[in-house]
Amino acid sequence: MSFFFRRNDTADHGGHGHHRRRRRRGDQRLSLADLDHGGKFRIVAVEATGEIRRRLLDMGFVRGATGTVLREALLKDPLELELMGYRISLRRAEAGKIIIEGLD
Amino acid sequence: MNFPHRKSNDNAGSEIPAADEVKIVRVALAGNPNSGKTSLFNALTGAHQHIGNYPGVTVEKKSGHADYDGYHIEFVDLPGTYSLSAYSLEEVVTRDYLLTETPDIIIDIIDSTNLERNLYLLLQFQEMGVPVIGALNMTDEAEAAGITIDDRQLGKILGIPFVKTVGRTGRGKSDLLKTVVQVIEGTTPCNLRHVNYGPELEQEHDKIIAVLQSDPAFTAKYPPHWTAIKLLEEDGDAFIKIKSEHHRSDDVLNTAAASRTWIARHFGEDCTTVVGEQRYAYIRGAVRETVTIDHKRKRIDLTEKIDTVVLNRYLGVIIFFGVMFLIYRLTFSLGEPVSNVLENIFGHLGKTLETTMSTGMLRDLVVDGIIGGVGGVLTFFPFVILLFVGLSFLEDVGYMARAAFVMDKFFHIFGMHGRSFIPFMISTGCAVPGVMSARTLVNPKDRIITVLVAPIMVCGAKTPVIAMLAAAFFPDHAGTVFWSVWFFGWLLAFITGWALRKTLFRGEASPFVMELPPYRLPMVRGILTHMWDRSWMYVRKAGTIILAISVIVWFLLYFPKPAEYTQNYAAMQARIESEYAAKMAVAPRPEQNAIQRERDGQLTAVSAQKAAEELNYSIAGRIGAALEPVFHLAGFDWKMNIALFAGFAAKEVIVSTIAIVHGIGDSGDHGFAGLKDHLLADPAYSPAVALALMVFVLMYAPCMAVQAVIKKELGGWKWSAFSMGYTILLGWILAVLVYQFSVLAGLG
Repeated sequence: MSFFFRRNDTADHGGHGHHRRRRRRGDQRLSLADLDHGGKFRIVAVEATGEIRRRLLDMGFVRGATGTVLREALLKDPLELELMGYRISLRRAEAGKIIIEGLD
Repeated sequence: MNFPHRKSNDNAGSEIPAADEVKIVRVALAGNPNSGKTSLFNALTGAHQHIGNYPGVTVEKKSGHADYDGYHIEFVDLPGTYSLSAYSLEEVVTRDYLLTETPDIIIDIIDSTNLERNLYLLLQFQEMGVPVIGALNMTDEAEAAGITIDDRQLGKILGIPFVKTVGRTGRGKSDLLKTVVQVIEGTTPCNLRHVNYGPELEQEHDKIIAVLQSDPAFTAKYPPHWTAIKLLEEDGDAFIKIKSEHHRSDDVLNTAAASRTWIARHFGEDCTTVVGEQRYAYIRGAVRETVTIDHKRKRIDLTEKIDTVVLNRYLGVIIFFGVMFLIYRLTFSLGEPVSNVLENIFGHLGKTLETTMSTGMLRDLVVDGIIGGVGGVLTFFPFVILLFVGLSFLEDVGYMARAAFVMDKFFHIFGMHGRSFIPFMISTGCAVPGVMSARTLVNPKDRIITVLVAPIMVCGAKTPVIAMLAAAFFPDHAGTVFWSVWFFGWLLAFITGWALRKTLFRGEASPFVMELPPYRLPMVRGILTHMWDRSWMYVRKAGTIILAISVIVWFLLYFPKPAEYTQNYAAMQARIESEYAAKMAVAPRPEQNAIQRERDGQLTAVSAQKAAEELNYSIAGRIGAALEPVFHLAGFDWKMNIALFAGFAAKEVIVSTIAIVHGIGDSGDHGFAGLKDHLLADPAYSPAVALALMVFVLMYAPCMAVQAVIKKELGGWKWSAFSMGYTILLGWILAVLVYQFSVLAGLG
């Protein structure tokens, strides 16, 4: 039996319940960059263009996909997310182009 | 010899070769990064492995074979990719391999704990018209996590066979080989049917195929399903292939454009996204039917627990520096003794040959040129090995991605990627492994910038030059000056990187969309193989090029010899000999040793003068003199120019060459005290000159070992030439500025 570490498949992170959502003024839509850690989301649209858009698509950022914001690095950038059961990091600039709805 | 491939019907590979023929099957192993591809490849091929490169690129190509049931199965390990959208070098390589080499079967290695994203690639393989077998790898991890996959049901839905495997233990290996044979013999169905994209997309897809089939030569080369889907996905590479190879390219492109517009209007989303979404929708359906997750299993999510500490906003940075320092320290403290042994061996070899070979050009070439040059570079070899052991460990354990995560913001400010940190750090030891480690950067521009900038760091070879100058001209602040130059190297690297990004390598900063794989205990075999591959490449490739450059530099420093010398050195030596012979004859015994030493000293001084004259007469000497008007602005005289020229070979040579040009002789590494006094007394030198020299040595032309590695890593001498050219120019500008300002500040 080999030794390994397991990832989790749905988000449940030690009771960090305080995933406040900040709304941008004048824009009612939420993006991934608006979520605090622990916040769960469902993707509504991906507004990036060009290569980044395709990259995000390849990595599973599609309408309907769900995930959780896990944490952010020192200067609040980049972010670490859980998406479809795996971990991925994104810069805030890219996260801002992913429109989401919050899940509780 | 291989099988005829790519049939347009559904059951491919059903042709059975004649019984007396050697039955060869060509299998490509492909899959996502971190899906355990390498360990499964090792399990399948055992010791039968061969490593090469894909033509024209630096991506490694591993191949191996296994014999099973009368078949000779050849495996090629394709680079890990998430998709086939030609985004990264790895994706282009995988795609081109599948299109041009058309293997008989693709084994897609799937991380069973991450089925959805992994199946996305599998669907794209199916579209390429090559039979696919899905290897549900890391089955043990999935089981422990309470994930059960109904592989037979999944196989029914996708129309291809699935096999459960564990690469680390070799579990499922023979099942996999058996399935390969069954697919080849046609006893296991392997469906090439692509995903059903829904009525709207299918309708447009069929329209495009109808036009595509007007050129049978094209559809014979590129599978029509795949081409049609790629055209709907607005794939640049597919456009190029249509334009250059399809004889009705305009019709095809117009039809595809019309289809994309219609789909975009119909779905309210661009066509590329619709195709991707349909794939994921299809996968989600398949996963819902075949995967059960036992939520009652206690979750021991170690990765999350470790990340809570390792990726903590504040602690993460401290841990990162700790880890890097440890790797760096271990490398250089463990490598030092081995490096010294190698240095001694080459030193001995040189001495032995010097005494056994007859005097002449050949001896000088072998001793000074080849052993001096190649031997000098090979003494860095232990550091290279150790660094790669450490880095492979960090990579395999899953920390490398985390390190990039922690450092990304800082590097991003300078237009670079978080992963550039590793090459930077390593280059402070030696830029050869530093440049090699830039491979972890996916984006070619990021990689080029990092490779061009990392050699600016103060490396092990620049250290003695800068330390000697600092000690000689700033005796009271030697340490401060040295460390200032050291940090100035980092600053210069960042600023230069930023400048290159803003000018020559302009473009969108590459996105930081990076998987953070779960922590896994690395396999020793994996690390050792990795180390061996890298080390062998260093010795073989860099070795041959370094040998050539060593000989060239030696030649330039050695030829031509003056026909007449300004002084008759032979006569001078003879006079000293006879003078001391006379002294010895009358001296009492106890004084004879001292007299002998005095004589040897005088003889060495004469031959040092001779060597200096020869050097000045050589091509390198003339270049030094010719460059004086240019480098005079930085305060350098022609003697310094010669030393800097010799520094192209290796930076540590600068100190010994300064000694030779000044006629002090090549007194070895221990005779610098004499050199320091000599330089202080020389009016050509001043603190201002020393500062300018330090800055120039920091910046200019990476040494030849690094040039060789740059050529290899970036795939062309033009990059070596560029890195040499721009560093010399920039180094000169900086040296002139530093010199002129220092003179103004009264340091002249």
